[in-house]
Order: sequence, then structure tokens, then C-alpha cells
Amino acid sequence: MKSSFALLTMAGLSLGTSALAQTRDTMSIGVSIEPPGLDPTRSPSEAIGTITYNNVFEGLTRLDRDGHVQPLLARAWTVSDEGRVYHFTLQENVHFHDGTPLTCENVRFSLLRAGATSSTNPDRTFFTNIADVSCPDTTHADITLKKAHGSFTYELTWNDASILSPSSADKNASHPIGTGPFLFQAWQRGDHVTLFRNPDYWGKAPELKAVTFRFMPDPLAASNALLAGELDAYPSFPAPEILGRFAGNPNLKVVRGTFPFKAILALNNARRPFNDLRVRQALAYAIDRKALIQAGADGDGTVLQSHMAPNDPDYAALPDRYPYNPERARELLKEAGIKPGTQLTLSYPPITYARDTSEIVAAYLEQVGLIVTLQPLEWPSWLGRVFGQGSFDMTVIAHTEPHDIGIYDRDNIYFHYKNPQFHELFEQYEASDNAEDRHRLSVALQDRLAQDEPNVFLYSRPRDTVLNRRISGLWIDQQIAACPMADVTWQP
Amino acid sequence: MMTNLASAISGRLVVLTVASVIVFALLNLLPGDPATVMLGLDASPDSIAALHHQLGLDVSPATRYVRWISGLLHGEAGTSYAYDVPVRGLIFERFQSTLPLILLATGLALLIGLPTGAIAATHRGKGLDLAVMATLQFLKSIPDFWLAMMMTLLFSLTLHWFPAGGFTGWNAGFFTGLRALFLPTVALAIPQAAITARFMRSSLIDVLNQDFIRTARAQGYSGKGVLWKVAIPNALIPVLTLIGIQLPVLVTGAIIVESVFNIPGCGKLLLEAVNQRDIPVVQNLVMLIVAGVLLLNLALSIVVRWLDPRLAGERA
Amino acid sequence: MTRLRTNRSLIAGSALLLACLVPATLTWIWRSGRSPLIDIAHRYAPISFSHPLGTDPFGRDIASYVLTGAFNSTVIAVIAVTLATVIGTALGLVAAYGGVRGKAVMSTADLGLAFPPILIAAMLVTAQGASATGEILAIALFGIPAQIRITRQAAHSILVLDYIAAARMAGLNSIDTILRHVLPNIAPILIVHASTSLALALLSEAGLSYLGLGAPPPQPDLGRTLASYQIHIFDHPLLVAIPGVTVMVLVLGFNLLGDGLRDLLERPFNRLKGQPS
Repeated sequence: MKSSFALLTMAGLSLGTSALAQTRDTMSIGVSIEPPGLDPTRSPSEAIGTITYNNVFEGLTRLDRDGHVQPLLARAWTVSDEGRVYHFTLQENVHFHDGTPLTCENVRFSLLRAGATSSTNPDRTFFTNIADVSCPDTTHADITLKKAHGSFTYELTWNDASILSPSSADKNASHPIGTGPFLFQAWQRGDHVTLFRNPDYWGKAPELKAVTFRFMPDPLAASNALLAGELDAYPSFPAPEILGRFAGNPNLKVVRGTFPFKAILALNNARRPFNDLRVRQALAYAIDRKALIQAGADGDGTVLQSHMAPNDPDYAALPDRYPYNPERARELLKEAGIKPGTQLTLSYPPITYARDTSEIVAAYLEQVGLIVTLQPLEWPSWLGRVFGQGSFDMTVIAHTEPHDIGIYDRDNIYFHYKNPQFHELFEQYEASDNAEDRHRLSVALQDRLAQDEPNVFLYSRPRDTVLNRRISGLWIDQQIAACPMADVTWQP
Repeated sequence: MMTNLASAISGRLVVLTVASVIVFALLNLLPGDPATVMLGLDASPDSIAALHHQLGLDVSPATRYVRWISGLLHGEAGTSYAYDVPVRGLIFERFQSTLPLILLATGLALLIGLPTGAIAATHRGKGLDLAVMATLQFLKSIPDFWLAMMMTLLFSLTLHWFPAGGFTGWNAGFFTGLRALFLPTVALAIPQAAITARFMRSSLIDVLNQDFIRTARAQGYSGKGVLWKVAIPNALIPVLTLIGIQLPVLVTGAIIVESVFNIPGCGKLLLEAVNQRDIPVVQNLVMLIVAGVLLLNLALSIVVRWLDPRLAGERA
Repeated sequence: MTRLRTNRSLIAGSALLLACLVPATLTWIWRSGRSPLIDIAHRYAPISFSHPLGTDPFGRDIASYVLTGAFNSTVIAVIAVTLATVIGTALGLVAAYGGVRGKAVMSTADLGLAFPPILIAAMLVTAQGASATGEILAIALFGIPAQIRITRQAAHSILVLDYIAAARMAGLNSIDTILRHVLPNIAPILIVHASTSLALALLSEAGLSYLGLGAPPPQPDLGRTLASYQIHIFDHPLLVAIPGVTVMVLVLGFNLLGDGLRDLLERPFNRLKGQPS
């Protein structure tokens, strides 16, 4: 019996080592969420970006690993008419994975489709600012905006601004076709997506022949797979409390980076009692946000004062307006006429940080006399009920989109914040193309939110990537939901 | 015999039909619109109506039920809301790990359970029997998911004998696949083995107490011969019935074990579908499991009747 | 009385259950049903007088958290088994009388055989979201068919006894027969079955809530507690061991209690069945 066990193990080991001895040209990456489809123009799911951004799909511009806008399918551009018209020169000899060539018509199709009334694009409101796209010839595209927009080329880097082919655009959810360095190969639902190197890529060919994104939502299972060598890397590892398992492992390392993670306690500003500023401030005073960081990020994180993460170039380290003070919270609640024992509902999506943070927040609110009912929701219900219809009391969620303070100016935003001063400032910010002005206005916007506390801003935390020591080129900071693999290589 | 068989089959068909109505009603007649979930917040009424039509939600529940059943009879199981691909393919993919897991575990459970039960029965009342019975009582009381966790901790994370979870299919090689399924199989088999052993013990004791065995022994036939040729085969027949009754428990165990070991099988698909509110997947997978359980149950009861002439006259 | 003293299963089972359920109930009453306080400053506190098993990642007292969970899990199991016993016994008695109604009941029981609790719970959660009611319903529905079979068999063996047949011929109606003769006589069988059903129901409860198909938070229960502590299996293995052992102690307790009760109660019943006329 004992010897047969040994034989089995030996067989497994020898298989493993013989595979290692060869130069590796494949890589398997762990991700925590399986996307609902692979079409970035149909769902805001972060997981779509992780798999497809600049791997399968490409836009006119791209973000580099430091967060700067770089040319991609657009080689160069000029701006005229006081920032209202953009003249793009396209890369030549670009083909989609199904062989169709890239022309200006594709740009026209993709951007107008994204802003159309029937569009399901998550950022449709941004694209509605495009008045027209005209094609002087196949390699030039002229985009006319309705209003000047200082950050237009930045927003063109988004995955939902990818350039698509009309022949395949409607089938991208299950079989994505783009112009990127990797081709979609297979998707085994519930397990993995495989991408193969694009042999006809227009740019520098990637070194990896195949990349597999494996869906591993359970951090324990993911850590086991990493330790066993079944996974090569796990960007944005979801459980800081077990990173210690990788310490001392000869093959693995943990690298700490940043990402625009903003955990908030979102409040329904259209509903009583959250339409009262004193109540929102009371909630902020009632919660010990440093303790949340202790429990939710194992002590490593930053208390947020506004809707901007510390890795953002426009981030302002504002003073802590609402330090933990349950006494002050009780006073404010009393002033606002909220009786002890008032019932509130806190809904949250099925992710570890949201569940843990919600439980702790509920405990803190209970200490100032509020009774909180916790309501766990599955993703479809959270997206439909909370994010979609804005029908909720409170919810814990982390916004991970970069530079998204503009959502506080949207009409249909789920937390129903409306403030004329914020709106005015944001209009000025949007219209400006002077970097200094934009920064000043951005700080003013952050400060406006901190005063108004439409949501209780909780914390931001660093992003930990667990990876094989021989891997180089992987993004450590997350500028946008992405895991571009073209420059990733195995070191000898 | 034939009429009995016919009535057994028709009885199961009625049960299956009622089950399908229950499954359909539970999942389709409650509030909530899958189209708004799929298209998201800003979807126009036009695109929602189009999707309703595409999903076949624009007709009455009765028509939908009939469509569902006739589709199933033609091997079509609709489209997953979450993945937008045919449910049939999703389920088929997952069966490649679930079916081997269940078969291996059943085999292992019998391999351990039957001899253990037989040994306990032949040593009835002695120390060995008491020790076996106590152990079985203990094993029966361990929650299977906890047992699975403890086994991972010991065998894969401390001793590194087996992978800690995951199953990448049979393409990586038969032995790699088998090795990945080893711990899940054992975790699934142990509670089943305990139940089988207890049942085998009492079944064999019953048979050994029956008159014909006593007579045979009194007439001088050797104890061992009687045991192997007469008693054990007779004791095995009720055990087959037990396997039929235990099938739902086995299914439950498989779903839990797949979840703990992160095996992409039907159980994990079911739980994922529940979390995504993917009604077509839940509906068809539940129906498939129910049909499978009923079918196997029927098959076993036919085998039992064929083996045991005493039951031939009884109602199905 | 002497039998009671030598009935080791009964004694061991009761002892295990008392050892677990008495402190669980006291904790529940003491905290008036609320889960222990979150206290982030004192997370992972070591074993001490005020925290007999230390504190968890949220700074909650592990002992009282797990005991509250044990209480909640047991309550769900008890409600589910009570429902299954009442409904199953009623239907089983109908079945014992035979006829068209009896046949209909037995076919329904066949139906139940194909639906393990996990499938019922999966459908209910998909349609309505997780709830304690759904979990209880799922466990109870699965228990009913077995209860019907056992009641029918036991009641049948009483109904065929000569003196019952004579009483019925003398004009005793079915309700009176059931209340005066059948139920008192089959009660021991029902009690034994209820005890082993509780063991099974607790295992189901733990499994369902481990998978997220059980009652939703914040009320702790053993399965969900295990699921949320699972990630600490390496750095704090006690967190995983304690709730697991608690489930095991409860299940073993009910199983042993069932065995003990069988020895104590079923022998008189069997003697009754074999009574010479």
C-alpha cells in the first residue's frame, strides 16, 4: 500500500519536472471573477477587462503601466476647433483575428455604436458626446465632439472604446474578435479562458504562445494552486490575510502595487434619512475606518476622505473630517430626529471584502443605536436592484474604475447624489484642457464630496500580486482593469 | 412479472412528470425578470422585448412548460442566462468529472462497506463487532465537507501526496486525472461506506437467523460454505435496494465535495448557476439529476426483483 | 430501570447533547440571541479566562460565537424534523389504511425520494434568495417520505392485530382507533426515528449553510461559520476545527441517542407485535 502511494507521487513529480526543464512559453493566471461574457461593450464587469484589454481588443489609444495615454491603433493625432475635433492617423496593416482589415470605417462603426440609443455600453453617456466620425480615407478618422472634452484621448483607452469589426461585434460575448496580440482560443465555463498568440499581429509579437486565465474565486483554492505550481501568477490576490503562506517559497514572490480601489458605504441620497447631511455625517463618525482596514486589508490601507484613490495623480490628502467619534454620531442623529432603534437595511454583493466590511459596519452602527438588517445579494440582484434601479438603503461596494469621480455628476447614478455646486465644478473640469487647472478643479471636486459625504468613504488598499519569481513584465499597479500579456516573459 | 414491470415504469413516469411541474413552477412562477438582469440598467424597452422573445419569455407559462419539455425530449435544454451558450454543452462538459467521481466513490464505498459489514455480522456481539460499529457510528457523524477539508490539510498540504483540488480533465492523462479525483472520491465514499457497512451487517444477521440457514447448518454444512454460497448472496439483495435509496444522499455529497475540492463538475455548475440566478441551468440540471436518480432507482428495483423471486409478486 | 443504567448509547448520546446544547442555550439566552460583539482591536486574542477559546478575525469570542451557531443550527434542525414528523405521520397513517388515498400518498412519497434537500434549497435560493424558511422547508420535505414509510409500516402492524380488528368491527371509528390505539403504540418508533432524523437534519443544515444555501447572516450557524473560517485553516487551524467538532458532537449525540432509545423503546413495541392472540 505504502509503495503504491510512493509510486503515484513519483509519477506525478517526474511529470512535473520534465515539463519544467523545457523553456516555458505558456502561462496560467488566476483571476477571482468569471466574466458574464467577453464583450466589453455589453457589461461593466472588471473580469472582461482583465482577460481582453490589449490582449484581444485594442482601442485608438491605450494606457501604459504607469497610467499614461499612449498611441495604439491611432499612430498620431491632432486637435482642432478649440478641442472639438480630433484628427487620428491609424496604424496600417492591422487585421482583425478573422482576417478583416482595419479601416476608418471600423472606428466609425465602433464609436457611433457605443453612443447609439440602443447601446448597452457601460459608458454610453461618454460616447453620446461624439457628434460624428468621418472618414477622409481608410487610414484617417476625424472625430467631432458636441462639447470640448479635455480627457477625450484618456477615455478612448477604456476597454469599452475598443475598435471592433461589424462582422463579429455581436458575437464578441462568446467569441471575441479584436486586433490584439492574442486570439481567443477556448472558454471552458466555470474553469478557464485560453488565449493563443496571434501569428499575424501588426506590432511586436508576444513571447508567450498561450495564456490561460483560470477562475479561482476561493483564495484558499487559489493559494493551493499557486503553491502546487498549477498557477503561475495571481494578480490582485483577494485575501491579504493568507499572503504569509507564500513567504519563504523558493518559486513564488509577493509584489505590492497600487490600484484605484475605493471601498465605500454607499447611501441612497434620495431616501430618508440619508437625504439629511447630519445623518450621513453621523454614519461617518460612527464607523472606525482604521479598524475596517485592520480587518479588511490586514492593516495595510488608507482611510479615504473622498472618492479618489491615493494612486491617482489628482489625489489630495484631505484632512480627516470624520474621525471615529460615536458620541458625536449620536448627537448628530438626535439633532436629525433619528430615534434609537431605527431600522436600516445594508445590502452587499457576494465578495469577501463586502461581506466582512458590512458585518463590521453593522456592528458599529448598532453601537450608535441604529438597527441594521444585513441583506446578502447575488451579483444579478445587486446589479439589478442596487446598481440598476437604485432601490436600496445602504450598500458596501468597492469602485475600482480609475479616475471616476464623474459618476457623482451622472443623472442615473444609483446613490442618487445631486449637488449643483459639484455639477458646476465638474462642468468646468470637463471643459478645461489645462493640466494645472484640471488638477486644482479635481481637488475642489474631492473636497466638495468630503464636505457633502454623499457616501461614507471607507478605505483603499494596496494590490498584491503573487507570481513566479521568473516572470517578468506583468503589471503590478492596476491603472485600469487589465492584465496585458504581450510583454510578459519567462526569465531563464 | 411483465405487468409489474410496466406498472413500475409507468409509476416512475408519473413521478417524473409531477417532478418536472414542481421544478418548473418553483423556478418560473416567482417574480423577477431575467431580461433586465442580462441587459442591465440602461436597456431600452425595445431590447428587453427583443430579449424576451429570444428567450421565449413572451408566451404564457403553460406554453413555456410545454416548450421546455418538448425541447428536453429532443435533447435541447435552452440557453444559459449567465453565459449565453446552450445549457446542454455546459452540463455535458461537467459530467466528465462528476460521473467518474460518483462511480468511483460508489465502487469504493462497496469495496470497504460490504466486507466490513460482513465481518461485523459474523462476529456479532464480540469485541470486533462493537469496535467496528462504534467506528461506523463515528464516521457517519462527520460532516462530509469538514472531512474533505481535513483530508486536504493532511494529504495534500502537509504530506503533498495529492493535489489540493481542481481537476483539469482527462486530457492531461488518465493517471493525472485519477490522482486529482482520489481525495474527493475517498471523501465522498467514507460516509457511504459507513452506511453500507451498517446495512450489510444487519442484513446478513437477518439472513443468518432465517430458518433455512439454521437448517443447513444443523444438517452439517460447513459454516463457511453456507456463509459464502447462501447467506452473503441473499444478504446482498437488500443492500442493492439501499443503494437506490441512498442515491440522493450520494448526489448531495458529490455537490459538496466538488465544491470543497474545486472540481468543475455538475455540483459546482449548480452552485454557480444558483449564485448567478441562471434559471435555465438550475432548471435543467435539477431535472436531469432527478431523472437520473429515478431511472437508476428503477433499474435497481428491477435487478432486485429479478434476483429475488420472493418480491416478484409485490407491488412496485 | 436496570436497562436504562446499562444503556451506554443512551447515556453517551445524552451526555454529548447536554454538554453542547446546555451551554449553547445559556449563551443564547445571555446574549438574547445576538451574535457576539465585533471588537477589531482584540482580533486573534489568545485563550484566556474571558475568551475560553480566544477570539476570531473580527475579535468576536469564538466560544460564544460557535455556541450561538450551534443553537441556531439545532433550532433549524428541530423545526424541520418536527414539521416532517407531523406531516409524515399524518400521511403515513392515511397510507396505512390503504385505498386510493393510501396509494396516492405512497406515490407522493416516491416523488420525495428523488429530491435531496440540496436540490430543493438550490431551487428556492435561485427563485427567492437565501432564507431560514427555505432551508427548513428543504430539510423537512426530504424527511417526509421516510417518515411516511416508517409510520405506515408501524401503523399497519398495529392495525392487523386481532383486538384492534375486533374493536373496529365493533364500531370504533378510524380517528378513535388512531388516537387510542395506533399512535400510543407506534410512538416509540416515531421517537426513535425523530432522534436519528435530527442527526441527519443537522448534517444537512451544516452542509446547506456551508454552501451558502442556508439561512443568511448575521445570525451565525455552524456551516457558514466553517465556510468563513476556512481560509484560516493554516494560520489558525482551531478556527476550522472547533465548529467542525461541534457539528460532529451534535450529530453523534443524536445518533447515539437514537440507538439508545431504540434499545429502550422498540423492544416493548416488538413484543406487542408478536403478542399471541
